[in-house]
Amino acid sequence: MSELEVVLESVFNQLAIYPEKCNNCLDCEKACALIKTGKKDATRSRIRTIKNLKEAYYGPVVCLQCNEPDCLNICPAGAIHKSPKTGIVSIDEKRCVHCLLCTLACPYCGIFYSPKDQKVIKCDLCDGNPECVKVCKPEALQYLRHAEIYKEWSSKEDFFSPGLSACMGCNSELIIRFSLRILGKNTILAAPPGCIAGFGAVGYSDSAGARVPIFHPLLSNTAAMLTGIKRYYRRIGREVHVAAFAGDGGTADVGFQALSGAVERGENIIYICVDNEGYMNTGIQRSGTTSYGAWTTTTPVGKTSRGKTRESKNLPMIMVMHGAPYVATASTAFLEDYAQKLKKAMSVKDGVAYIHLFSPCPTGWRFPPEKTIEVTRVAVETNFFPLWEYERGKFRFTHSIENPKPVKEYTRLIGKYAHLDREQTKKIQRMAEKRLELLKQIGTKD
Amino acid sequence: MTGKRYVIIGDGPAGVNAAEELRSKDSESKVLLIGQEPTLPYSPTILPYFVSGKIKEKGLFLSDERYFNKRNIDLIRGKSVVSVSTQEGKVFLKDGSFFNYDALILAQGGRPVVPDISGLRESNPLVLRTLADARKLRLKAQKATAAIVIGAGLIGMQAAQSLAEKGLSVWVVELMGQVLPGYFDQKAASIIQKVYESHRVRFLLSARIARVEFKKGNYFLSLREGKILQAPLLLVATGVVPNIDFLSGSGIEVDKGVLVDKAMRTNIPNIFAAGDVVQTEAFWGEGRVNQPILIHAVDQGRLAAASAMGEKVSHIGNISMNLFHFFGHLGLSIGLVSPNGGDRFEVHRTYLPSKRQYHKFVFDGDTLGGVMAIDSILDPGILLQLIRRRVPMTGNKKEFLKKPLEMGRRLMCQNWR
Repeated sequence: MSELEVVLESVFNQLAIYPEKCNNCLDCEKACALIKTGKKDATRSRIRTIKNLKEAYYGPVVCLQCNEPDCLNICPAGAIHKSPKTGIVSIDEKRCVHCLLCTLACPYCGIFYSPKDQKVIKCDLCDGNPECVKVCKPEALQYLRHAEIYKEWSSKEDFFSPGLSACMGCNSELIIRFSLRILGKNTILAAPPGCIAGFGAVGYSDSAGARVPIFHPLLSNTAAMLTGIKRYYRRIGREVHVAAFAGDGGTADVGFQALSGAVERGENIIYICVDNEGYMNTGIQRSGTTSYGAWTTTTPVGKTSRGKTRESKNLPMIMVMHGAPYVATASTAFLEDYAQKLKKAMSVKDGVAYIHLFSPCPTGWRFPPEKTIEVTRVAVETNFFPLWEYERGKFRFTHSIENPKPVKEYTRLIGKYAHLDREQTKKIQRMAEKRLELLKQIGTKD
Repeated sequence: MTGKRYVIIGDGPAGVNAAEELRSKDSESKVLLIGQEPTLPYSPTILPYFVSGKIKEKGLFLSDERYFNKRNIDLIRGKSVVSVSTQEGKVFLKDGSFFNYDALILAQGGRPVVPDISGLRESNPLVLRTLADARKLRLKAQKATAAIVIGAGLIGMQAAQSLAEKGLSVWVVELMGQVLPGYFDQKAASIIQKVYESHRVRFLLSARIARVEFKKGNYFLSLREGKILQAPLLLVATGVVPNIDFLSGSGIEVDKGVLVDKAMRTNIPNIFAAGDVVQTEAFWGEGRVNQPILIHAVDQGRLAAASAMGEKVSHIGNISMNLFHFFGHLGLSIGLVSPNGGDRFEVHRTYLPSKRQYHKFVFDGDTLGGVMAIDSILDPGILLQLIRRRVPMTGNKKEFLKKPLEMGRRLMCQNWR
């Protein structure tokens, strides 16, 4: 077994608890008792809340479905099992002798004796459809299905050859392998000049990195070439997915006219912009999507210049205004969200499906390579890069942030913002808020 | 990883958990589990439930052969080890065969003690440690109408319950002045005793047995006070001692049991030990003690395996504990329940006669030191962790005493989620 397979064997969908969101309404206890016993008697609930303390503190307490359950190890009757498929730890009531040693072994009181039931009870996640999550209005309980997605993803063939020459810490390897596993074999790729093409996707000498057909258009004509390919295959009666993995330069600047034309004509292509906010592989020059205040080699920091003076081009919003049937933003810190969006993009048949992928660049942005995913996540959590989708006139946030962190939490992680003064930081904060407001307005108009 | 040869002596809970731990982290090494029992591994804790008929024999075993095959754990059954050569790294079996080891884990458990009472050993009383013992007891109990149990420790009390549930009238004879000494205080013990007495179990406490005789299918127990008890079934449950006879001359340090440090290491570098056979550091520094209970066996088995693989691990130290389910009632005992330490300990008792609940919390300064409860609704696992991790109460003691469930859970959420 590969290392990945070993890891994935112990990854399961999970009940996530956010105690700070709990409002102590006790709906979870009632729902649990009702589905398990037929009565709303909260004392028989498998999930229990902490309440009635002097200093207000709420929080649900429930079995965590441990990977190495102490209750299972101690059970002298062999009555406790962990499903290798779902990870759910369950009690075989026929074997249980009610010795209760499991309740002593569990540090979380996730398994306990219920005097009314005269037996030991615990949460079984309602076999993967937890009732408590459905009734939890403040979303203090959430059922995370990441494991399902990662397992599905890893079971699919990797259509990229081993080894590539991207910079250390770059998330484009994750992007290309992950995306190709979802796009599948029946795909033709275009990778214009940029990091994706540069790290070996279109090839070293005569062999390509991708194991599906891939070609290398000019920086200016990616969408036009994909248009031709898609039309050709349609004409010979074959359905294929054609997809572009283009950088921000190949999308927002040099490649924009071809993309704009394709969207207007309603060409059926998937266009993925991997946005690292600059021309990184040619020497870190500014691009149309370089954010305000950022250092690049062409927006230097010195006595007179303090990084980029212009705001970035809001490309996904331009695509919405352009009338593309599907537009979304995505991030590698939220792969399950990206996976959903890519699947939706694949189902579009009547126009361009556009996904704007946020891709921090450790080399060009100057942050340590191990921080890439953290930077990506904080960009979403500060609303600097909100995650949303726009589907045929319907807008929605796919990962709304209730209490966003200040943008400073994001900029302080990154070297290209190290010089920012208070005014600049404030301006970035205002810009992020303004863009969010605009998105919210689109959302409410539907 | 280079393949090592791990040999584990004993296939009880400590041995099986050690084997699982080894295999979960090392897929290449050879893991050999030598069990004395001819059957598949089982946990002795389950045997009283087999005697009472609550479970059938096939429900006893923790896992089947497929389970061990799948994990590539070699299970040898029905073989007893007669000696260990620490110089050669060999384990010798009774039939003359031997196995080489790179690391050895001793988990052979203990055996019941039959006290030195005139006529007792000669009369072949029953004990309850192995499945063979349990089968005998079950069979005899089917024909008998009365039984005598010597010893009111956990095994004696559980066996007495099993026999009573089968309809026998049972006498429990105990040397000490209360049932379950060590685990429960006088008050709790008397509550437990009353519950037993309502189920046709009678007790003779502070009883000293003068002589035992076996005549015409009946045991006769003569007590020093002159009373004579009679029953066709006699069970001795006066504790277990570590099986260390075959280690004599091996150079492995033993006292009452195999002496190990907190990482489950013996004095020999590649030999480790776990479970009922060990004598290890106690939690409050009372020296090295032998505490044959299941929860330690599981913990120590896993730790010994980790230690054998070169991981740095440390056992928290033995804390006396048990959870005791009797005739629908619940007894819980963890840690220091009747401490003699003067001012250092603070004791809080609660007795609710109407609900027949009794519990007692013992504080060691600012941390919880012990809990004892009869039928009180508590979270045993959380209380154990509060003690083990010495979680400071810092001003929450009063509220904890009022609401041990909520406060316990809150401290749990804050400390180890």
